Amino acid sequence: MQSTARIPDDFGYGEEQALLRREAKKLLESSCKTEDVRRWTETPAGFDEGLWARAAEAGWLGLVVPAAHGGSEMSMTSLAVLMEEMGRVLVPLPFVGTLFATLVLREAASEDEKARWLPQIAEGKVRAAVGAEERRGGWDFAHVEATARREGERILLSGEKELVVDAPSAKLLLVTATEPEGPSLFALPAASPGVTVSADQLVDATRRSGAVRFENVVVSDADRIGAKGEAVSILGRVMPRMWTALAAEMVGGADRLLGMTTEYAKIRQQFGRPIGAFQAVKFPLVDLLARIELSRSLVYRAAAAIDHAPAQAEKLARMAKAHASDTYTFAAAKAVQLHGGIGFTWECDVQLYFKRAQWSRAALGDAAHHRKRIAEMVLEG
Amino acid sequence: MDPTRDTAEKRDLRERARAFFQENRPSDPGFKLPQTFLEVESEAQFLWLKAWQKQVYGAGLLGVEWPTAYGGKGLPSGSQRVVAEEMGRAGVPFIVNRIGLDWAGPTILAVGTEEQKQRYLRNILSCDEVWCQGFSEPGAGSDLASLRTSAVRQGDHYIVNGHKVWTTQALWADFMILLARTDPSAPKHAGISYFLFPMKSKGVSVRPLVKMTGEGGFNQVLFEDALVPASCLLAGEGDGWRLAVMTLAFERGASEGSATGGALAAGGEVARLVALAKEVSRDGRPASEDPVMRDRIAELAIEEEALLASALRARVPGLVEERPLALPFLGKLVSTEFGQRVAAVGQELEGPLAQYAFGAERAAGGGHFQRAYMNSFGFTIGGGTSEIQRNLVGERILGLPKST
Repeated sequence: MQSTARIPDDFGYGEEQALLRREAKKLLESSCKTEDVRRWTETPAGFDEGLWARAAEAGWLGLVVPAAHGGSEMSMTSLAVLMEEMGRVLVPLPFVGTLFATLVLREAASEDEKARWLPQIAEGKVRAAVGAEERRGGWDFAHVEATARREGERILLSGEKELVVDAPSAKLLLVTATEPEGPSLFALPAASPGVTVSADQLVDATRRSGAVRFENVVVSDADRIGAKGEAVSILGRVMPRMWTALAAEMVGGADRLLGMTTEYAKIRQQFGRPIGAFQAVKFPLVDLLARIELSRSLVYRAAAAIDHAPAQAEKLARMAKAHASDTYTFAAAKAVQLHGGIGFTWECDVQLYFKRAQWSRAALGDAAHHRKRIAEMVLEG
Repeated sequence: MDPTRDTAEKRDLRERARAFFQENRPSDPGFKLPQTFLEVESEAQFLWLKAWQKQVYGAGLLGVEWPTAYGGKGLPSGSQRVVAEEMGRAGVPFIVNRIGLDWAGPTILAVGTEEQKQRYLRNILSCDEVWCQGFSEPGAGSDLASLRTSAVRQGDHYIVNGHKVWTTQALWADFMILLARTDPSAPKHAGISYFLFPMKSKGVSVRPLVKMTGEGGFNQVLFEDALVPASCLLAGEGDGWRLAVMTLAFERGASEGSATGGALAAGGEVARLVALAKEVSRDGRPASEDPVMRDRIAELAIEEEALLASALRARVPGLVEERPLALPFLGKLVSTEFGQRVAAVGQELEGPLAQYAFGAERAAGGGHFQRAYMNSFGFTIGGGTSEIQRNLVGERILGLPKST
């Protein structure tokens, strides 16, 4: 089957996606203005429960949840649409962590575990996070120092996960720990005795993450997600979706920066002219536009591959993340530079996006990290 | 339109094209073929390429999107791109009558009279008549509207005087799409007319130019009291600027009906880099094992995939609705600059071997990238420089104020 699978000419983009985009735009433009974002990010939780509830009502939390478990299970193309729109307004919701966990559960959890968690996730009652990276791992999921030690029927988990996105507000944590067979994934309620989550100070104020420590936390075989030693392979199957989702979010953010900076360049006068008339300003904006358009093409191509031609998914998704990382970084730098002095200030919204770009680039592998794998596929593949 | 039928049609076309190019791959002509249609310099090359185009057209693989009434196949938009992709995959020689197919043809198709369409279009596809483009002048490059070649009406004829430059294939062409000033008193954009000009007219002389690669292909064309029938005017007198903008849009890949498939469909350059990386050495090991070179190649592989994905995305209305013209307008800029970067990295990969000239016996990969790099400037300059493209995109797509 897979050998004949092809990416459809329309990228799997139809009326369903157009409707989702319209509704997302409407909801986000009215309930997530920049002043709201600023206000929420100054609170300890970092987000607004009211907006979370509206996201759940809109079906966003069930977007990747199978219908049998109360979700709508839409395509990766749909998820890309939603992420792109969220990225435009810098929505400060613990969405990424829950999305990551949902994908892992959907991919590998037992029917019991799925039935236990997925309906609650879709309803917005349970927020979740995935702890798969450690201090010395450098984006390598196979580097797992945390251990899962068997004691009769009990399994004792000990270790520490770093920079676990959305961990501070998560009720459910999925963490990796090594068994004799290799790293496995375990579902761990955040309230379990022995679990501590400390909030990180992130470069991006609109995101939250935390270090998750667990010491002799008791779980059972039923809490393992997938088979023993399968964590790296499960995560590997999920990652193309995560890379593409983040890339889509970055494209949305970069596009918003382009819009803000272009508008500013039309209004801001210097030497008796709007600065956008100067080629020194115009040309970098055009280069930014070009990069955004290319990133966006890769995002939707990767999304369509995930949905229709899985054999091509990993390469295209890595390409999308790598390209979008560079694009968002470039967008942020140019936006600050072209806004001039004001762009360097706290009050200018550009800085919020600038920091989101910094966070996004470093999350789930930066451009160089992905290019290294892409080089292997291109040169050895 | 039923998209599933569309897809089956394209699949069928792709299979047909793949089979044709596999079975009819031309054998080595025994002389060096040029790299692109811009470098055709000898009559032997030209005649060989002309025969090749005729064969491809004969197989029903050219002008597939043009109406059947004018020799096309009337297939849906995007079909020619399928053929172009298969040509790229098969690595067969290029189609020589590019200016006819992509620039003159679509313009005639858009605004020509029925008589003009019948007269010219079929011969463009079959390569019985080859076209060149007389837009640029020594004093009017990217500022095209300042052109000075004149056409003065006298009865049923115009008398043309002037000087064109960078005229690709003028040496071989049967016709030229010619811009000339018919009203010197009108504002500079208003006094220009667009002619379908027979190159074999009296008073026309062609002088070849030699590029820095040492190759020909470009020419200067001089008009000294050259007489041309008034019936050769395309649309009305004074319509030239509007039509030129249309032709340039086709040239820049904004065309959906492009007969050869458009600039963005280009591919296979990164595969060439990969092959070279395995052939040459750095620090005594294959360059393909050098981490820095690997990163450069990966970067370009991503870019190539992004260009391909963009060409495809441009056809999905829902995915371009916010800026429907951005991708077509960016096409020339991004693809030509990509080509230039690939060629630069190709030479970098070669390390010390990059010192060899194209065609040198000891050159790696035949010195392809040495020549390609030099030639790449033809694309970033010709048809509106990258700088002009950036102005155009900045003003038309981003809505920025005009540059002074």
